[in-house]
Order: sequence, then C-alpha cells, then structure tokens
Amino acid sequence: MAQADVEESSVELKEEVETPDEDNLIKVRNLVKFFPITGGLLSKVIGYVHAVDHISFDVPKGKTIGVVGESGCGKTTLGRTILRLVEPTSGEIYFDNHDIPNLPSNQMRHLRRRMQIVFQDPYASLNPRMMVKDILSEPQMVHRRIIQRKFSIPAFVFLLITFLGFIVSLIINQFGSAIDLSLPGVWSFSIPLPSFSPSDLDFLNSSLFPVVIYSSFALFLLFLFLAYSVRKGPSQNQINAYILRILREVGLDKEHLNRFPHEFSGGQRQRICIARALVLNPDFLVLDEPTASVDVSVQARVLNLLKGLQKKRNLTYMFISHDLSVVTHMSDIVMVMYLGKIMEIGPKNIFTLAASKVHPYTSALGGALPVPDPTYSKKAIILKGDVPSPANPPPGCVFHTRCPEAQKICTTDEPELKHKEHGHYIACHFR
Amino acid sequence: MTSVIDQDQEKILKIRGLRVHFYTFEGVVKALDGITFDVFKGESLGLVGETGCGKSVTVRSIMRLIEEPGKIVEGEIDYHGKDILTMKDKEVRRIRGKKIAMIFQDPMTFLNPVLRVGDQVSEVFLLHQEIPEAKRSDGKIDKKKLKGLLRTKVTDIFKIVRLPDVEELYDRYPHELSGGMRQRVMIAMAIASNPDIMIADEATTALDVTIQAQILDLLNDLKDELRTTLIFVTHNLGIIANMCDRVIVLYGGQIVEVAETVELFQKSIHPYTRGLLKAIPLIHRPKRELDAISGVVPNLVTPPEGCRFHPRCYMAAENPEIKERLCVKERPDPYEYFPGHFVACHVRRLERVDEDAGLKPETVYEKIETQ
Repeated sequence: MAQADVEESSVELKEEVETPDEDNLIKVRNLVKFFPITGGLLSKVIGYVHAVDHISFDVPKGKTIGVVGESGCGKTTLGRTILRLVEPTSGEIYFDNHDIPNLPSNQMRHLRRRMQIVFQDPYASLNPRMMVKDILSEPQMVHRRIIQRKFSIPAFVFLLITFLGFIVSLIINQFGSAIDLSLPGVWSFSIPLPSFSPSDLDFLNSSLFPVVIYSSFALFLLFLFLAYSVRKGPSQNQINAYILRILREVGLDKEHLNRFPHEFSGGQRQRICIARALVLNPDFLVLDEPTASVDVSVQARVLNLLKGLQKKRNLTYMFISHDLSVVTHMSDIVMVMYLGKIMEIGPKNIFTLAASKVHPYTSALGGALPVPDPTYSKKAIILKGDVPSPANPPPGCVFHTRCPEAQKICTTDEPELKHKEHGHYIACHFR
Repeated sequence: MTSVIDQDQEKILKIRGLRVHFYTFEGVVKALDGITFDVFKGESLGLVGETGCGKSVTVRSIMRLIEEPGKIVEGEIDYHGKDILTMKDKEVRRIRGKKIAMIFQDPMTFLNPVLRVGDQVSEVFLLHQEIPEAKRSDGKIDKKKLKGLLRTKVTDIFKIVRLPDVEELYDRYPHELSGGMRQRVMIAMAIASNPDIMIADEATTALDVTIQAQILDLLNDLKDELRTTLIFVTHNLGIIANMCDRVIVLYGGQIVEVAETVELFQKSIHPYTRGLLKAIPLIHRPKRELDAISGVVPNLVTPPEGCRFHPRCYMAAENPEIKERLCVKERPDPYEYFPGHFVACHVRRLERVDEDAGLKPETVYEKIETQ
C-alpha cells in the first residue's frame, strides 16, 4: 500500500471514532464468561472454557460495532452475554444505563424489547410450524403489545343466553314455589321462589326480588369477565396494520403472511428473522453472522437492507462475523477478538492499514483474506499453526504462540488494551 | 471452445456438452445444461458460481461420482483421448484418485472416523501403486516390510503438506485433528498418487481465514512443485482472484463467462458476472452501498427458457426487443468477445456484432469500462 493511502486513512480515523461518552448505548466493563468443563465420575468441574475473558468496550448510539475473529474466539458468546441470553460469569454490562446482569427478571423482560438478535442460521431459528404472521405477532403477544385477552363475542353471546334463560325460567316458573336442586339420597336443597301470576303485582314488593336482581347482575358481570378473558390471537386487522408494514420494510409482502418458513429461500428467511427482531421496535440489534448461510447476491441485499433500516430507525448494531470484508462494509468500529480477548478496537479500515499501525493479528487477518481483485497486492504474513484451545489459553499474550513478532515478554506478561489515538485501542507490547 | 491465446497449450481435459439431470420426487432437476470447456495442462482453473449453479456437479461428473438419483444424460469428457463417461468402471477406478484426485469441502465427513489417518492415506498407495520393495524373493508380499514402507511413504507425504509431528500423527484418528490438519490430510491423500489433475471442491470453505490462507499457500506451492493442473471450485471470488489463471463463471447449470482471471475481474462482460462482482464488499475499496442482483436463483426443475439468467438480467430489461426475440427463447452460446474471453449473452453478442461493423476494439474496451 502506498504511503499516501496510509496517511489518508489515518485522517479518516480521526473523524470517525471520536464520540462523546454520554452517547454510548452499550457499555461493557471487564465482562467474563467461562463455561465449565465437567468430567470424571462425579461430573466435577475440571476446567473452564474461556469464551469471553475480561472484555471492555463501548458502543455509541446509532453506530455499528463489528466483531471479528476466528471460530471459537467468543464473538457469538459475547453477543449473547450482552443480551443476557447467557448469564455472564462476572463483569458489568450497561444498556442505556441499566445494569443488565443485576436487573430483576421482570424488568429485564421489559428491556429485552429494546434489544433483539438475528441468529446465524435462518433455517434453525424459525419455528417450522408457525406461519409468518404468527412468527411476527408472537413477540408482540409476549410483550403485551397485542392484548391477548380479547373480548370474545361468541363466548359472550353464549353466556348471555344462558343467563337470560335462567332469568326467564325464573319468571316463567310461576306455578311452583321453589326450584328443586336436591339430588335424591345425597342432599336436599331448593331455592324458594315467590309465587307469581301476571295479575298479581305483589311479586314486585316481595322481599326476595332485589336479591334475585342483584345476584343476577353479579352473575352477569362474572359472565362478562369470563367472556372477556377467553384467550384469542390478534385480530386480522392488527396483523394487517402493523406486521404488514414491518414485512414491507424488509422487502416481503402481504402474500407471504400465511406461509410457513419452508416455503422461503435462505435470504427471505433471514428477512423474516430481521422482521421478527424489528417488530418490537428495538434500539439495539445483535446480528450474529446474518449472511453466513446465503449467497453473495443475496448477501448484498440483506446487507443493504440492514444498512437502510439502521439509517431509518437509528438502530445500533453489533455485527458479528468472521468475514472481514462484510464487517468492514457494515461497521463504524471494528473489534478484533482472539481467544476471548480483545486484540484491537479501531476504525473500520484497520485491515488495510500499515502493519506497524495495527495489532499483528489484525494485519495477519487482513493479509490472509483473499481479496477479489487480482491487481491488489498485499503483504501476506501467513500465520503458523492453529488457534489454541480456549480451555487452556496460553499465558501472557494469548496470541504469542502464532505471533510473528513475539518476544520473551509476550509469553509472561499480558498486554493491556492501550488507547492509541482517537478511539483506537491495541493490546500489544510493541504497538 | 478453443482460445486464441492458449492454442499452443495441451488440453488435458475436454468437456463437451455435459448434461446432468437429477431425478427427484419433485421433478427432474436439470443441474447441468450442456457445458463445454477445456482444461489446459498446468493451469489453475476456477469454477465459480452461487449455490446450485452446477459447479460441484461438473467436477463430480469428471470423477464420475454422480450417484443416484443423478444421471449424466449427455456429453463427453475426454481425458487423454478417452471418454471418461463411457469407460468401464475398472478403467475409471484406475484414473479416479490416481490421475484425477479430489479434495472435498468437509474433511470430517470424507475421512473415516474409525481408521487412523496414516492408514487411510496409505490406502492410496496400496490401491494405486506397486511396491516392489515389499516383495520377497518368492514373489509374495512381506506384510511387515510393506507396513514399514507405507509408513515412511505416508510420513514423507505428511511432511510435504507441512503437517507437524508426522510420526505421531500417523496413528491419530481424524477427530483428534483440527480442521486445518484434517484438510492437510485430505490433500496428502490427493497428492499421494501424484495426480495429473487436482480438483479442490470448496476445499477451504469450512476453514477460518488464517487457516484458509495456509491451505491456499500450500496448494499453490504444491501445484508448482508437482506441476499438476488445479481445478478450483468455489463461491469465493477472492480465492479465484488469488489462485486461478482462468475462470469459468456458472449460472443455473450454464456457463455464462470464461476468461483469464485478471480480465474477468477488470473487464467482465456478462451481466451476471458484473452483478456478482458489484455485490461483494471489498476490504480495500469501501462502497457505500452494494449493488445487488434482483430476484432469486432459478429453480432447476423448471428453469427459465432460453438464457437462464434472463428473469434477473438488467441488460435484458434494458433491451426488451432483444429479450422478447432471443433471451426468453434461445439459449445463448458462448461467443468469443475478446480473444480467449467467452461470453454467453445475446445482448452482448449483438452489441459486439454492431460494434464490429463500425467501431475499433479500443472503443469497445472504453465503453465497457465506463459502464
């Protein structure tokens, strides 16, 4: 890369990453998630998988943070932990100044409306037995956006008729003096009735009459309540008005409402997943490899859709992916993870910056990516070996086993995530 | 399809009018619709396309690995003057794995989980090579000696594919290896018999970027060392740009464009190739918005008539007259747009024919670049 390019990109860096502190929607401090490994006869805990290991970062409102790393680096776990889909082992997460890990579950449920996730595999994350309209109305039912206890007219009419029947039977029952409710041989019980004939208006002065009226009114109220509390789904109108709007926003239409997930292609399914996340009008979306399972031409449309939605709804994204070019395209800030730790947080162009300005792992990732441009030349440092097991990460800097620049200090001392310039953080002894 | 540039090169494979159908319950899937191309000796050829474009079916046909319910309906695959498709099974077995080797996408499913990896690789030698050293004076095979010989041969191959601790590795089972190491074992199997042609079918798709870079680097070096022909099947245009000399772009079971790599990336002509190139985000040249191709990949049970790309094609939409007359009715044949650069598109062909009448080639280049 030419010198001029490098200078140009560092200028960009100044403009992009400077954000005032109060605008941060998400604040993460020292977040840790260890998964226990059990073994032996009594399933004793014999070790921990260090999925997320003391991570701190901020996400400004309306921006996209891209999380990049190889498989097993903890990027998916990070996304899930922030939403508390996985309970963190320790550390602090603040979402709009709410302390997420210590929030009581009922308040958490309220907050979940504002933070949603789109999963990697649209084939596995949609219930195959639910129609699109049900998939899209379910989150609203859970969050009481659609009132589930709908007034059920047939149930009400049915109950009203029984009730009126009872009253009428009382009135018509002018010959007897009581309603016999006794079961022969078990008990004997009868409701006494006033004697009544149409010409005898004494009935109205009977002392029992107000009791009958009051009790029947109470029964009526009970029936009304019962009729009201019969569970019923949202009405067709509610679906049409709101869900259709969301569905159109993601590029699907009315005819798709009554279809099942298997009738859709991968890209369309991912759109349904995005629509489901949008239904509750969230502020923050975790996008966990949303285009990993679709083709290039479809990927382009999904990415464009996500970018458009972000602009329109002022969404904050956490974009998790292993595809460097997709992350670069989508993000304002890029976070590079390796074995549960942050190696670098920087502007989106870190993969093409000069190697001396970024973490060795970042430049190695950038160099390893095959760029679809035969004229683009790059310095390829091919990393040796495999990623070590996250159950037993190396001491010191976790990257030292593969780092081309590793020195003695790297094997013993863990580098801090140091602030370089304008929101550019690097965890390396030599940067 | 002969190209002007490569006429002096020897053709190692000639594929003519290959048509493969899959007979499923939903109907006949016309996976390949008459594909014709050549593979030159020593080149690395890329086959690229989206899911269901027929790239894997093409290479599996070359290995004659199409299984029920699939069937090669028509076509010819000429390898050293013999048609692979009409060969006897015995003859095919002598070629498959020995002369033409394949590296598959997912090494976990193609390695036998209950056999040691070393033994699996040594099978290649047992099947395809005579080992005269292992014979005793009475002509029978000394099994102990054979085992030792195979072990050294396999460990040598392991060293070539840069696997660590080869002696120890011989006795490992596949699940004990990492993804990158398994893929190296697969490559070791492929190169063990010193093949003429190596086919890598999405060989690095399941791997991480850094491991992918290692494997690609290895394949590149092996190709130079062993002087094999490499056929790369992938959906990743980045790998094509870095690994291949020549590219074939497939769409819906038809070839849409054939060109040398640099030419394809700089002067792609077919509307599909162009759309594909515009749809990928680039790390070194950020785009504000990606240009997506509208519509979806066709269902190959009922593929569109004529050019299979026409329902999604912006060029056909811009030229409704040509679309009505040709695109929807006639299958476009590859047309040599530039020397060695073939394009299967009616609109492009007619455009070129018009320009040949009046304009100089330079202006054609210019026009394409500005578009």
